[in-house]
Formats: sequence, C-alpha cells, structure tokens
Amino acid sequence: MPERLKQAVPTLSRFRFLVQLLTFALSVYGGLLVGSYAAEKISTALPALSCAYDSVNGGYCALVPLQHQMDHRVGAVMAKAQQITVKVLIPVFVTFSTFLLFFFVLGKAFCAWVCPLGTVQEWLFRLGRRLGFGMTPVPAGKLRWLRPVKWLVLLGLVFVVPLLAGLGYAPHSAGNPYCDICPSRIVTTLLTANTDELAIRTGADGFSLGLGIVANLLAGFIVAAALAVRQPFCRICPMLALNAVARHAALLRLTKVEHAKCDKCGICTRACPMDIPEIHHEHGRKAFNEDCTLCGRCAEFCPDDGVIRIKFGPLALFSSAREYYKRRVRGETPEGEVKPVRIVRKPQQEKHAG
Amino acid sequence: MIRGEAPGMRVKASGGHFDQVVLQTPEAPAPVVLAQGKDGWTVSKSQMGTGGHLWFIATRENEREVVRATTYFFFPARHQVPTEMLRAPRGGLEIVPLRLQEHGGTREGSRWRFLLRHDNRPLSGHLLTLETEGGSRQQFMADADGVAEVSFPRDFTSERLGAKEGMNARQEFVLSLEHVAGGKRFLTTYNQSYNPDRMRERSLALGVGVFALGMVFAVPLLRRKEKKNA
Repeated sequence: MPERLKQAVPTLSRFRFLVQLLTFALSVYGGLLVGSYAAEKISTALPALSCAYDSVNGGYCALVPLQHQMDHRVGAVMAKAQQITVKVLIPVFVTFSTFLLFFFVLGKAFCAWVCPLGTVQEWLFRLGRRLGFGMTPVPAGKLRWLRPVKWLVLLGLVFVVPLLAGLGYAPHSAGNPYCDICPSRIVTTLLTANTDELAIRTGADGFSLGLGIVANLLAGFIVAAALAVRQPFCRICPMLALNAVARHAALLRLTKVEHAKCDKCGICTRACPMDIPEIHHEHGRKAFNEDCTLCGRCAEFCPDDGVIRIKFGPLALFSSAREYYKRRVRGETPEGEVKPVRIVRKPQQEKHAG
Repeated sequence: MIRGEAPGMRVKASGGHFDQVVLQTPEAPAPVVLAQGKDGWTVSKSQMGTGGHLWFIATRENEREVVRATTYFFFPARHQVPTEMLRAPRGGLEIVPLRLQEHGGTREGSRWRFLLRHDNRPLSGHLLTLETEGGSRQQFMADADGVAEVSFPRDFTSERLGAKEGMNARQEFVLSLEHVAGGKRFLTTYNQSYNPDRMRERSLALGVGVFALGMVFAVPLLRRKEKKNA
C-alpha cells in the first residue's frame, strides 16, 4: 500500500496538485455538493479568493464580508450614531476570528493549496511551458516596489474605500471595490459558464464603469501574463497581505536553517513561484517571507538535507533532501520547465537475459 | 401580502379579508399563528428569530373555498437554511419554492422551480399561472414530480428602468394555482418581487474587448526570451 501511494504521489508538487484539484472543485463548483445557501457553505470567511459572485461556489472569500462590514456596519453606524456598538464589533469579530481559525491551522498554505485563482494561474504557467513561451522572472529590484502594492490594495480597497462609502464620503457603488476589480470574480464565474461578470456595467455610474474597465484589463493581463510570469496576480493580492500578517503565529510554516552552501546556490529562489530572494539569502524567521505561499517548491528543490522544512507545529511535514532533489530535477527544472521524457531502448543483451 | 419593516414586523394581507396569518422560520418550522391588530398582523422580534427567511401564510376558508396567500421576507443574518421549513408538511394546496433567493433577488430571464402539492401530495400536470406587474401572463405545467419551472419574463419597461431606482427597480409577481377536491375550490397564491436582468446595463462586447486589451498589454512579457540564472 505505501508503495502504491508513493507511485500515485511521488512528489510534494504532485500531492499539492491533487489537493489543488480538490479545493478548486470545492471552491468553484462546491455549492452543488454542500448547498446553495450561505449557511450551507464551507465557510463565508475563507482565506482564499473563492468568489461569492460564483453562484455554485462552496465558500466565500473573507474579503467579501470584510468590505461589506466596513461599508454597511462600521461606516453606516459611525455616520449615524458616532459610536461603535456591539452590532458592529460582533460581525467584524466573527469574520476575523473565522479567518484566523482557518489561518491558525493551515496558514499561508491557503494561497498555494486552496485559492482557485492561484491554481488557475499555476495551470496557465504550465500551459505556457507547453506552448514554448519564455519564462519572465520578477527581479529582486522590481519586487521592492511591487511588494507594497498588496498592502495598499488591502488597506485602500478592502478597508478604507468601503468605510468611506458607509460614511457617505464615497459613492454607494464603492461598497465593495476590491471585489469589483478582483480577477477571481471574472475568471471563476467564466469557469461556471457565466458571462455576467465579464460584461462591463455601462449603464451604471462612472465609478462602476471605471472599476469595470480596470477589472477586465487586469483580468486579461493576468490570464495572458500567467503564461510567462509565475503567479502574476498573487504578487499584489490583498489576501496574500492578510495572510502575511499572522504568518508566524500559524501552525503550518516554512523554516530554514543556515547552511554554508546556501550563498553560492540559490536554487530555492529559482524554484519559488514568487521569486522570493530572502529564501536564498536569509534563514530563520526572515526566510519565511510575506510573499511566501507555502507551495513547498523551495524545500523540494533544495539540494541539501534538512535545510528547508515545512513544519506543522513541532512536526516536520516535509524536509529538503539530496536524494529527493535528484529525483525531482530529473522531471522538471527548478523554474518549472518540464523536461522531455526520453525513451531509451533496452540493450539487446538485457532483453535476452530477461 | 405586504411586508413591513424590521425590527419586529407588521404584515398586511391584500385582496380581501383573511382569517389568520401564520409564520414559519427556519429555526421554528412549526407554524405560529400571528396576533391580529388594527392594522394587520404583528410579528414580534422573538418570533422572527435570528433572521433569514420568514415564510408567511394568510388563509381564509368557507364551505365552498379555501384561499391561501403566501410570501417570504428575507433579511441578511446568521441563519439556518430554509429547506426544511419550506418542505414541512402543511396540508391544503401549496406552491412551495424549492429555493429562496438570499441576495440579488429574482431577476428577469431567471428560472425558478416550485413544487405544487395538495395535502402534501405532488400535483403533476397542473398549471401554475404567473402574472407580473409588467403585464405578462404565462402558464407553466408541473412535471411528473409536481415541479413547475417558472421563467421570468423580460417585461421591465424603459420608463421603469430610466426612473431613479434604475437597476434596483422591483416589480411584483403573483403565482397562482387552483385545484378542486372534495367539492371544495382551493386557490393558492405566492407573491414576491423580481428585478431587472443584470445584462440590461452591461455590455459583454465591451467586457470581452477590454479583457482582450489587457491580454495585449501582457504580450511583451510573452515575447521575452528566457534568461538563464536570472
């Protein structure tokens, strides 16, 4: 049995692919299984971009209730009563605590193992390899100005603008601006054969029209860019930022110990779908960067024993190992290029001998 | 039936006198007879429970006929699903929605399924009549399981959509079902409102065009050759 299991799941990446298939089906089509009412969903505060606009989804992204609570609860009550009441704090607390409960167990793995948009981008990148597109890594210099974008999106589009809409300083249509530009809204609904979200609201106010144009430009860009760039949207995703806040408190995390060979190696950064240089240059807490999605590729492609680990509490679930690395690079380069399968004819002698 | 406002609610029944109104909630699927006041029936906050879907049934009965009007009211809250409440055996002639909308409302062009039953037995082959505020009148036949699929007509006028409420405009509809059993006429209605089709204010062509433009912006990334040891 363990040998069969090993054949079916020979690598961590294959295991993650199977988990992604399952979570993708649950997040995009899961409503057909768990039910269509909000109370039947797996959760209405998932730390992944499981879109509420998808009518057959199995759970809602935590960013949806957060925007609504900023707009309808916090903003509206502050405007009316100039005070925060239990009616306001409890729903926000419930959303955050549900999010943290999920997050405490699986941590940033929600990004690389559960998020349907992350999965779609990964599959598009694989398609890009098959189609022969060159890979475009994001250099460390550009990451410096790219990284703050996700924090600005989280602060601006998930908290501030919905709050301003609730207070009456922004138009009513600004109640959920992040959802309005989220590529997951367009991509996952298209995967259920629904074109409503791809269509742009031309009959609404200028603010909605503007957001619609930004959303479609962004979604089109992400879909095409993902053929050459690994996880292009994840780099500015506010969920990545939200997941980064408490990453060191989560049970599931990435650890790296200092090793003499690390300075000259750097395969881990080449294998990282987020091009994180810190996993190469740093160790300890600093190696588990805010951009990490816990996909585990750095650990898979680290050629030294026990340097990079994925740990659940004190337990090491996966640990880098030279033998595993050798096996892994036979089928795929660290950058994700699939190596062609070589068919070697058995020597004639062996055939007779067998 | 006309719904009032929370907290607490007042329910009015239109279309003649009704003897009583009962309420069912997902938390308490057993019917509760509402107290009648001067201006309709009142629902206390405790009767409303935590919220979600509230199912109302107004009834009047005499020797010749039983008339029943039904509707639901929804307000977003942490709530239980209404499936058990809807399918609970009640007797009499019923139009049972197989699913109730939570957000966004019923829209033009959408399809919704209703179970037609009398004394908890499905009525196959019966006609369910839809009449809308937009002036449409259509009939839908129940299948062998007593389920009729209703397709809402696109009958919002341009004047209605051009008014202040725009895409938030609502029109009322009534579904009605008649049946004769035991020498008695049974008439049951289900009323609610529906909204305009979202695509009325959206352009799919523009959406596809802008999406394609976004893809064009990414083309320089696709052309770039791979750099080794980047």
